[in-house]
Amino acid sequence: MNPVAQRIPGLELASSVLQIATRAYPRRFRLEFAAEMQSAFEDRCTDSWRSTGNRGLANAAFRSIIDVVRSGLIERLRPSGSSHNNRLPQSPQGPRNVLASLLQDTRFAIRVLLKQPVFTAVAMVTLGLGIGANTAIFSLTDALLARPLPAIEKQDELFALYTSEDGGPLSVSSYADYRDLAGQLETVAGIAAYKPRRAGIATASGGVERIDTTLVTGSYFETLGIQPVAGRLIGPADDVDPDGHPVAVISYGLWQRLFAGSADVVSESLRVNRRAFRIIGVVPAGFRGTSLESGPELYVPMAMQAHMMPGNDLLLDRRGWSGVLLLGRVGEGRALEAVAAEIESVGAWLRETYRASSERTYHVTSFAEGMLLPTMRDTAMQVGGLLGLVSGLVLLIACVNVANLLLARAGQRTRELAVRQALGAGRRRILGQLLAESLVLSAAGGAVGIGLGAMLARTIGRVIPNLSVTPGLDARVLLFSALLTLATGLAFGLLPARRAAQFDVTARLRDGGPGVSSRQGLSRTLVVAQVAISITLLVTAGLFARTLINLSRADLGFDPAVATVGIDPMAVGYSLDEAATAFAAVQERVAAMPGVETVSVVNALPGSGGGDVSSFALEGYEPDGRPPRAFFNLVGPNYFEAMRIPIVEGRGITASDDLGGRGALVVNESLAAQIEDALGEAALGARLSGNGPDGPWMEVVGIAADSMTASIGAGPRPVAYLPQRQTAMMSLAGRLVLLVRAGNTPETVLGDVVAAVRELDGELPLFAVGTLRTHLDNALAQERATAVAIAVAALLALGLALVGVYGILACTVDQRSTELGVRMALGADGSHLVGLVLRQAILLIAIGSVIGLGASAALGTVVEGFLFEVPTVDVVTYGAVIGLMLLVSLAAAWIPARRATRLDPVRALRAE
Amino acid sequence: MSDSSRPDDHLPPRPVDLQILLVLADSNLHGYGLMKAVQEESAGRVALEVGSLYRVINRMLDSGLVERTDPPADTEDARRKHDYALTDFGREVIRAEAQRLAQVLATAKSRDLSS
Repeated sequence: MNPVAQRIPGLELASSVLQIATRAYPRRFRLEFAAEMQSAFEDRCTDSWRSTGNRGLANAAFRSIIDVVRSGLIERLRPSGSSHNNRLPQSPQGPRNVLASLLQDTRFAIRVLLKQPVFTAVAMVTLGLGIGANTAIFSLTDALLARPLPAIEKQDELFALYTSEDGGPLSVSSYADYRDLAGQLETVAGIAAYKPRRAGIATASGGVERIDTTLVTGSYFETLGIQPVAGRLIGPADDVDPDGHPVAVISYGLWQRLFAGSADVVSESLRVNRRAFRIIGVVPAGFRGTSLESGPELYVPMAMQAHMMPGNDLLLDRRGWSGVLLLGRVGEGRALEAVAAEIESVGAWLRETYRASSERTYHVTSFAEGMLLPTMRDTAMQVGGLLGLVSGLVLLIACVNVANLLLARAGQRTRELAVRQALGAGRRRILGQLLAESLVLSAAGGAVGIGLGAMLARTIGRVIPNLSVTPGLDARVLLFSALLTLATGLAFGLLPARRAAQFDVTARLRDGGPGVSSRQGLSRTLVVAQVAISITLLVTAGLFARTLINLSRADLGFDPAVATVGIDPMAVGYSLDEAATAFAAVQERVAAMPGVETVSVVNALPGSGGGDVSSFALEGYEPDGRPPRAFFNLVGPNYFEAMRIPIVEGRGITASDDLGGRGALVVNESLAAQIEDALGEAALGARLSGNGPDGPWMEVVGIAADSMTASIGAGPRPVAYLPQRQTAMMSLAGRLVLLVRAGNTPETVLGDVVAAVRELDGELPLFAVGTLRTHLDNALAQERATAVAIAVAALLALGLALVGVYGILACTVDQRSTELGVRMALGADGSHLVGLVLRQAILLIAIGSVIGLGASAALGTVVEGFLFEVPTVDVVTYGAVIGLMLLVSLAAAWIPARRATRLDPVRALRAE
Repeated sequence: MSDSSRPDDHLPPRPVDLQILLVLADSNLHGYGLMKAVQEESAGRVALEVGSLYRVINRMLDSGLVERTDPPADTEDARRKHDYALTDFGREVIRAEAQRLAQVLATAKSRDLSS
């Protein structure tokens, strides 16, 4: 150092500041000129001090240092250097140019991001996954729960009407009640009943096609306010005489498909269930019925229900029978509350008047909500809510990860940013530039995400059976995703950008200044958050996985290795008699096939959701309030043998239990226990009636072991098995599933069984073709899909957390390389250094785990309803998750830790 | 040195460059000496700070207008102080610039610039 310098107060300090400032120059330049610059600087300062004292010195030093930083940066940006393009765009002056400035920032951000393709790609994919998951879930739940239907006028005036009994779940209504409501309600502009159904129509090629159909009352289209695109729609005059109005309205799609959109379609004839119906009109293209579970192509008057639903004349006259959906329109100038109040009072009158057969309470819901059956809506909302929560967490962790990446990147750019500030770029300007980068990044991620989300939503939409809506991209979904993208960009960009834009030139120009350590602190916090979110998702995934395992291992009470072929002869116009004959013929043929052990039929396969829960009378028992209820199923001879359900007492169903028999039925153990409780004597020999206290009575001839009925995992429920041949006049008997047991490989006979049915009548519609085992697997599809979705999310989160842990430790090792080098030089061995680094990792993971476990316990209570035989705080799952997290994060920590031991002490020390 | 370049390629030089070249045409100088001389000769109109000075020097070294000379033996810290001298090429550039300026001046005089 210049000897003069030592005598001038403050020059030494100024000199060292200048030394730091020269780092603004490229290295090559520094090597060549730094010493000379230092010398010239000191001379200049000394002269200034001599002429004008301390003030002069300070002034000269300040100007020189600023000039050095400025020149250094310009030198770095010289055209020959690659950094030329990084010249920060100058802010155009004036408010008129805000847009231009925005465009400039965006272009610059794109250039900067393109220069770091790996960083950009990782961040884009990370964000894309997060935004995509949320887009898909939103698109799906929006389609199911909130999307208004096209072609329906003034939807906010419409309401749906559901019933409940004894505070039970909301359900459908009876047609008889509908007639009373329609006759008495004064606050409504209209009320209508409809009944989704499938029907067979004759095609041009002579075949039969099964299509979704809806039976509608004459008030249906009027209440909805639908205008026909051709002809007219079903009106009150078309719905008067039972079986007297064979007219039909077709969907726009069917019109195009069968009649090529011809205007002559009106008065054309269409064979529906083997009877000619006259087409009177076409509904608009956008109208797809009023139930989300079906997209009808055909509408026929409710008066035709006997033809559409043979053997089920109950629709028009039986009050206790529930089967129709109701909707209505609020009267002009009336409020929905007034309608609800009136319906409440009419409902009370109905309960009073028809006490014996109806216990219904009516509930008015908005039409948009009423499009899904309330039970389905609840499930959809629960699953949608859960998946929304999970995808939200994935997005959060993606944000945290990208924020961490940006922080690390900001670390590398510290000096660049400091120089820009020194050059006069305002803090606001730099903040704006960094935010522009975040937003460009999130926009790119959003584009990836919207694409992924649309694909995912379409896939999910295809997997869900009988869904009349197609989830996809529309304005609402795009708006949601765009807002989410914007929020994402701000969420992960704001914090690092604010950090980076803080004006602290001197600290920034020195390596390892305070800015770095506070950035590390923030990174650590983010890693803890990542670990916590991952733990939460992993625990949730674990609980669902355990539930799935428990469900698949659940004791069914039967052997599912049976082939199943469902046949629906009535859908193509068979009468009940004809159907019974057909079933008998098919069973006979199949029983004679080689390899077939046992053949039977059943109305409702376990877990299929079919069957009929209804009340029954018990001879010699006066119910105290509500009559007892049971699940009624129709089964053929040898059913219990075919299913391998043990008969505990008495006998099973045999071929002699037919119309000529004296009326027999088999009950399961649960129902037997109920009967014994009620009668105080053995269930075997007791007499039941499904039609009330007047009979006809059926005698309990056998008790079968309990087996799975409605869904896997649900407890046993009372079941009554009615012999199919004895009840052949019930409409349930018109649609049965053939059960074929053939060793352990039922799939092998499936083709032959189908061929046998086809041989009998090639037009017979088939369903549920497969094995009971596959049907049960399919019945778990929702549970499996949910579990898989959560598991994927959890693994994603784990992967992101792993990157986070790795990143922070790698940074730490770099930062502490001197300290580690000293320790090594002083004789610390490798394992000690590894321990030193790992200790930090374990601390972060431990904090994250504790927070994560707390959050898991909270989330556990939310998902409780989804779990089966798994406690919400499941020690096994928690333990496994903690173990996995530790293992994975220690693996992530291992690489930086090993690097610590390979440090060259000499180099590490020299770096300081 | 850039042998391929011609003096005309460097015309007109930036004001700062010209000022430095003119100063060096008189005598060789080290960095701080240059700063002071430039300020004096330009009557304070061109005030070079250390950082900018060395950036310009670096550029002029690259284009072969100036060169480093060994510092005088009596300098107290020889390592830290190089003198800079005009190269022959630098001298040609000044001459070319002087001619150009003379032409500019003559042209300007021939026009009536009073109004």
